Amino acid sequence: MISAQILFKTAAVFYGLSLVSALVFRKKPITVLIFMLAALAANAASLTLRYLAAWPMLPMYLGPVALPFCLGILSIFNKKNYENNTVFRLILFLILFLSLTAVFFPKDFYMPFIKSKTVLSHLFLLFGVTGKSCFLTGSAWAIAGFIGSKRKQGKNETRKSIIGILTYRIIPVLQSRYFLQCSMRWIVWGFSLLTLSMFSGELWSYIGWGTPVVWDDAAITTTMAIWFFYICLLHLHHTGTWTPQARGCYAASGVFLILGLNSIPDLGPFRWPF
Amino acid sequence: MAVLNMIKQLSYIWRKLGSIHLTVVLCLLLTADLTYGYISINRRTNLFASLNDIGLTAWIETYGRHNLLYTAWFFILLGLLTLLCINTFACTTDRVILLIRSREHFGIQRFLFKFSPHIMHYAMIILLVGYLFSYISAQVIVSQTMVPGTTITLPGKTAQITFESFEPVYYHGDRLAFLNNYVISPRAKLLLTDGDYNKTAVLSYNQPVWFKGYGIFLKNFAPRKKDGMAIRVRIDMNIRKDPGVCVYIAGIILFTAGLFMYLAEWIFFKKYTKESL
Amino acid sequence: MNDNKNIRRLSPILIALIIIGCSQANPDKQQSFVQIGEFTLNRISKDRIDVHDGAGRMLVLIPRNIPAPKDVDPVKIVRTPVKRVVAYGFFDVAVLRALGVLEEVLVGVTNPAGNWYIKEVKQGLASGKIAYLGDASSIDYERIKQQSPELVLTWDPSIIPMLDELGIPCAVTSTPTAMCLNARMRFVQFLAPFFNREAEATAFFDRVNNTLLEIREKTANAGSAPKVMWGDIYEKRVLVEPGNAWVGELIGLTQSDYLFEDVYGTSCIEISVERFLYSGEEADILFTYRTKEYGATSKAALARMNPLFSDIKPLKSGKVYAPLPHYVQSGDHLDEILTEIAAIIHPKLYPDFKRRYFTELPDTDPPDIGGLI
Repeated sequence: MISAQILFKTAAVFYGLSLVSALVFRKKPITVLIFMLAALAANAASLTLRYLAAWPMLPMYLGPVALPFCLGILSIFNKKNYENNTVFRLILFLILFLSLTAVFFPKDFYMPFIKSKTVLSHLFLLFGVTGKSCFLTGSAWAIAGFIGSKRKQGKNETRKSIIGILTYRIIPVLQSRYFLQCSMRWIVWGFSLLTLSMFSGELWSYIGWGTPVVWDDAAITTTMAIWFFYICLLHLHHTGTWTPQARGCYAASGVFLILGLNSIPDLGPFRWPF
Repeated sequence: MAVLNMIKQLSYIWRKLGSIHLTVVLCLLLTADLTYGYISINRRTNLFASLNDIGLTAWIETYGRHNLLYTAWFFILLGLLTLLCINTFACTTDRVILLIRSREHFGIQRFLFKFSPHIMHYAMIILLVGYLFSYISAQVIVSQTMVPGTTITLPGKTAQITFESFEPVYYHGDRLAFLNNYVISPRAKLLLTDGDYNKTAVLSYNQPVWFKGYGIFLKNFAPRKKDGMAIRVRIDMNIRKDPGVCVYIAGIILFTAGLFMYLAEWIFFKKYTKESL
Repeated sequence: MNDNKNIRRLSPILIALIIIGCSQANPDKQQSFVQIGEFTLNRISKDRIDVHDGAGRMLVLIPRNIPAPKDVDPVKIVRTPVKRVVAYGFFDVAVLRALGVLEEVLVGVTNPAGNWYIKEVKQGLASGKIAYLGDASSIDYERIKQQSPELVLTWDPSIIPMLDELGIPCAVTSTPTAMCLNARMRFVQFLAPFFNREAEATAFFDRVNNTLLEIREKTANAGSAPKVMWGDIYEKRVLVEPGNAWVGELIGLTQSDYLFEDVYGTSCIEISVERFLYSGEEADILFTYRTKEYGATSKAALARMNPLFSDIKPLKSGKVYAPLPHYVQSGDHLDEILTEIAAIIHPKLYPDFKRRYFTELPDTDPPDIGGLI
């Protein structure tokens, strides 16, 4: 019998095939798109089954399965993401990484609880997952901006501050501000969606428990940590406090934060999937 | 001279408090602190769960002070958030003043949209103040248990709550096999009375009842299964008088409004194409 | 520049103030707050202890000879030492025994005489000193009134409204989250101030703690770590002991691998069938919740009750243990129970160990029992 787990494993295989196709050929062959569509279909079916097994409640720990799907949608249905080879490959790499962690470290064994039977809980998940996908896409654009360029030599700027030394001497120069511009677009969307997710969560927490924050769930702190991290980046960006190079590095580093703070709470122990 | 000096010093402090560098440092420290907080809550969830019931002051006096290894991050969080509020207020106020002074440079629509980040900033302060107010001033009756037919009187009032009946909705079906014949929607019928005032309300999960300034929240109920083990019908409620709720909900609404204005400005005025890079 | 200097001069003072502010704790008061899982004891003064029970409700313990505080609802005031108690749970009764007050204070239970294995309770019920108050779902309130308890220990909060009317304080002794090992060992210290039996509680804790240290020492170099699971399947629901429960923690401490260590939540938490079966494929030992009376007579009987069971390794080639009926009433022998679990997991380290609380299930039913299932 086809289960949500089998479908997700199938999706992971197709994501992998899509990445391999994208890496092997210089110009994207049609197979990339075919594998991606197959992966997305399997992933969507897996999500649907997980949802059917819980609806009208919220499926527990759906994030690790939903995040690759959201990222996949953003990668092929957004023209800029799809057309830029480096960005597309980076996103595919992230999708595969997330899929594999979800396959090998699943935490899908908790039963849904009836307090999650409210539209706010579903919005909390939806906004949260799409927000984090946007952040990851933003990071992919920032990283792509550094790929293929060289390190800067001898500029005054490099000696001025620790940030200058770190971001100019160690990391290659941002190719073009276009990458940062695209990265920031995604990050603004990510921030907006994550904020809406937090507010949905707070309202759910209020009507469900009577308080704005339910301290029984440690994941609240990681969400807040991500929020403040990106608030910082938005401030840096709007005020131009740091150089575009430094901001690019900051935006790129967000990928570690999202993967660390988002993935770890949502992952279970290692489980051999076959 | 002394007054001038003082004004100079105050102005210097104000400038430093509103500095963007301080914002950056605070945000990064908050990120690090909250990450550590995750580890602490994960290891000692019991320490923090009671924060909602006993309030901040009592929590600090008991759980907080006696488990500093696990709660220090929370005290640091309170300090950092306080500083962030001050920083945000100083920074935003300066910028709002500048914006108002330069209003002739923008059309009215653009001028209004320019306020979006400042609306979000002020909203964040309202939100955090609301939380603080809520955690300091909320009066909570924890786990008030009622069985059908019982009545309780709200503290210091003549208002009464009577638990009339329990009319749960059961799930029947195979899709959610684990829930077959179990309650999917607990529904407790309450009679709210105060003098001549009479009203029936249904209390359920995610469906609180508000009465005379009190919020009534369903915490638990029994029995959970139709025709299961013989257990007496009961509901456990948390009854809260929380003046902070209105403040933080106002903050949420204002922040959301600011956020939509910010997105609208960004989408319609293409702010990012040339600026700030 | 001057301003900068001033700020710099001020900053150490500010930091010092913050540190002093944070450390202004009265040392006596620091000792006074004790947290035992979700239960707390907060000694407000020599004559007042505020306690939070398992449901988060506050009770105030006041010695008998001291006037009642005016700011507390009379039904939340417990006069100490408590002299008459009604107890719902087996574990509560066992803890009263550990405190050495059982015979003296217990006046009512919610299980009939036939269900009891504790000698003092059987005798009390026979002599009429202890009353059977009816099943938890149909308590005889008139009988409670007659017994005039000063405190009711319960897992079922539905009795609280009626007790409030009768003016009898009540403490909920069950918790939403499973009791960890530390809380299980120290629960006796939560009930001790109700009876002025702190010394007995400390002695009990020390005894159990020493046993635990011995177990840890003995199993430290046990070599291979057996994989253990603790749970059961009821109809279509899988219930297990989470990793944060005392049994989960104990198994982890005895150099073995508790397969639900990652599961967090309430005792007997429900998880998916797939997760249970996944762990079942690699487990060496299964502890089931069921006793013989509830069908755990053999591996075959378990498999018959739920065919999903038949696929797990403990039923095929491993070992399955079921609690004996008196196990749930033996909380005062926690040290022995801990040792027995360690002995089951590491039989080579405990040669000739005689089990008293668990029984190993045979592959098939003995002929006389098998016919009944």
